Amino acid sequence: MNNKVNYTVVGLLVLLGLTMILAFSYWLLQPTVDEKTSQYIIYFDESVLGLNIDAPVKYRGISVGKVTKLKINPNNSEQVEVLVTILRTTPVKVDTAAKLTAQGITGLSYINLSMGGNMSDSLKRLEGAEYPVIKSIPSFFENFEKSLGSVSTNLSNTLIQTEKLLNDENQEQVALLLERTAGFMDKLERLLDDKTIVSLQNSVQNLESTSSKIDKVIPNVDTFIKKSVVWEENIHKSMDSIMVSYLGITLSMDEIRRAISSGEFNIKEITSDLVPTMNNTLLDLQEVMIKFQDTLNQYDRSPSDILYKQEEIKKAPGEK
Amino acid sequence: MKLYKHLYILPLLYIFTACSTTVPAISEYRINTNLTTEEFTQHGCKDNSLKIAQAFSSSNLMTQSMRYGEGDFKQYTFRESQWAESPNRAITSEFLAYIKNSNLFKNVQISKSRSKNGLLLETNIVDFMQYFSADEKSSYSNVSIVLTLIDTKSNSVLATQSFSSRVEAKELSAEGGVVALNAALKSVVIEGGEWLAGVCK
Repeated sequence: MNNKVNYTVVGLLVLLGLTMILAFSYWLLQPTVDEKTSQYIIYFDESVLGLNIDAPVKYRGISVGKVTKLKINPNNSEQVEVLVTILRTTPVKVDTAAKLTAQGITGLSYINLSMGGNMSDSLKRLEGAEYPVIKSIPSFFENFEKSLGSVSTNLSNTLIQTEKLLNDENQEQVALLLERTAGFMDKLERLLDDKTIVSLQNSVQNLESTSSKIDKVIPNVDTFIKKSVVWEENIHKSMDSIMVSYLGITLSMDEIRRAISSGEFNIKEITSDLVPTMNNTLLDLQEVMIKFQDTLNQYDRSPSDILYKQEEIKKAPGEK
Repeated sequence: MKLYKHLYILPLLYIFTACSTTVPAISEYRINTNLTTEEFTQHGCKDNSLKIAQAFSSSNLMTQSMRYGEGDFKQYTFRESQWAESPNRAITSEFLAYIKNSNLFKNVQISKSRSKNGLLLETNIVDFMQYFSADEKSSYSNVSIVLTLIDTKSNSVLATQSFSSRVEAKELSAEGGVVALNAALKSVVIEGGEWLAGVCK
């Protein structure tokens, strides 16, 4: 067996192998053009439990970067400062918001970017700041916790009010109310026997009948109202006529008043002549009427006196 | 046939037989008191004019029929006698004539006068009739009159007085009654004049 080893060849082979390893590593680690990134700062006001270095950063569900650094904000100890590295191709706008989102049931979290509008401006680094700052919004758990606290407070208040409502006095009142309600319901049940229900049904039927009759009557009422309007117009015309007459009377009275005032129309003077004459005429008329009545009485007593003068008149003393 | 044509004459003849009815003669009597007026000296009413109103009376005294009473309740009309003028007018005229000449008032007028007056004399004839006893053996005439003096400016009654007179009839006839009525009326008129003179003191 030939133990001759060509160490030169071995050395060349080793060098070739190392070169290939280095070349593979370079190929493996060489950054592509697309993998050019930018770094942003996100300040969370809540706990970032579950968020680790290299935790993914997603934009609308697509992984666009990773968490690079986690630390407490040196200027505000209540905030957590998260440095993220995000692909430059990611459209990070001024209104883009970062939200801490739980990743299933593993307890891990990732950062989800959302709400960036097409028309919005791209996020720029503020003057004096090291990185652009993406604003954060509370996570689901944060909202849930806040809501839970509010619900808890409301529930507590409700319980307090309920406790006040259900004090001994109110309980007695409620018991009394229930007792009376039970009594009322009992009476109602006794009241609403079959006969009463039938009566109620009849009443409802009568009501329906009345309603239908009213529906029939309403057109008549409309007619009546129309006629009333006509009647009202006639009345109005009559009132106008009366008003005209009244004005005429007023003018006449004014004229009479003027005539009386000026002495043209002296009632006293007129009546002083007229009244005695009338009085005398009436007296004469009275005598004529008496004679006429006397004659009528005579012929009523003895109609044949008209021709034959047959009534026998008693002879007075001294008459033949 | 010709006789039938003249049958209409029969009913005409029957009707015109009425013209043959004879009625007794009627005597008309007038009221005449033959008063001689007395001039009074009272001058209280001398400045006033007086009007004498037509007398008020029952309708019996407003006709010319002459009535008489018999007994307490009966009343008849004379068959052969009547008034020449209704007693109502005649009595008013008697008062007018007497008072006019009494010199009590400035002037005296009847109610028909259109002259203005301050006083008014109203006459109410209560009774003016002849009465016979039930046996027609005696008779008298009764006159009863109420006089009222009124101030026409205030229409207030200044004075009022009743006057009555009863005169026995000398004859049991209408004429006897007329004489008695005239005498009774004369008495009443004189009394009325004296009463007015008393009012006008």
